Amino acid sequence: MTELDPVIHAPARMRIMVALAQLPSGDTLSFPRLQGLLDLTAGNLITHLRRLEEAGYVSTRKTGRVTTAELTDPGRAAFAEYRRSLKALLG
Amino acid sequence: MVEGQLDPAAALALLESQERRVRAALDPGLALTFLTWGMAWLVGFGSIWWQVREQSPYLGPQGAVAGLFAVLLTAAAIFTGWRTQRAVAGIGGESARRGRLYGLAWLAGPLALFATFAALGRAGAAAPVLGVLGACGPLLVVGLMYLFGAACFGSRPMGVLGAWLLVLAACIGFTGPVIAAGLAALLAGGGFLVTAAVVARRGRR
Repeated sequence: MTELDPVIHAPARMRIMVALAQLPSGDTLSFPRLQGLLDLTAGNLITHLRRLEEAGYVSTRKTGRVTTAELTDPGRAAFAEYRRSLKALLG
Repeated sequence: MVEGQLDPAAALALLESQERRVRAALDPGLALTFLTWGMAWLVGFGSIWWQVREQSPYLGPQGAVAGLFAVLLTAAAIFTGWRTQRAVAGIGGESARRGRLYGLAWLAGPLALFATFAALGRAGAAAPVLGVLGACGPLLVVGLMYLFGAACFGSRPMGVLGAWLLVLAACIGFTGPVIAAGLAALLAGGGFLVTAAVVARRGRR
């Protein structure tokens, strides 16, 4: 039975992964832009980003006053696998 | 939406709708950019051709027509810059670095061309010489910019358009300043419009 990655399989975290996966590897997205794209509150976004960061899927960095986030290589692979699993489950 | 209550079908639907939404937000709108530039070139060069077509001897674009051309190109540049900036806001890293360099080249290229014009005028170049450069110079600079853009961002439409503009830059000057202005309006402006249509059609697929 195909299992879905529980770290990604939650609406807010999946949407964060989708947004970051649209950028090429090596690109980052600022916290305010990510928040605007997702319509999440700052607190919610921070909570879910932290969970993704703990799993090694996302990396965040603070430069001056701006915090940026990017998908890591394992995160990119996990997201591709998550999508494959979803499609496999749906036949 | 409550955490942990996504069935696979709902998850895939959410994933795909979010993907469409983010792509639309990050898209600088290449089709609209090409359409804007196509109209600016068609009207700008078309007006120049209309004014100079019966000049004998050739004097070149005068007064309002030359001003209109400058206003159209400036408006197109401002519109493109605003759309692009809105799309790429908050993006950092390699793409941002390439984008900044590309933006600077769009500023430096036309300025260098304008300076060349001024230098030729100062050196006593005749009106027909300036007329030929006026038609071919922008094609050369913009053609190279689009090839540069294609290399940076992997955009095939940019590459094809850039190559087309360079072919025009190499050829139309031999027809003289009057016909060259007309050809720049039709073939370069038209090239932008065709590219806009191709990009828009691909985007709808």
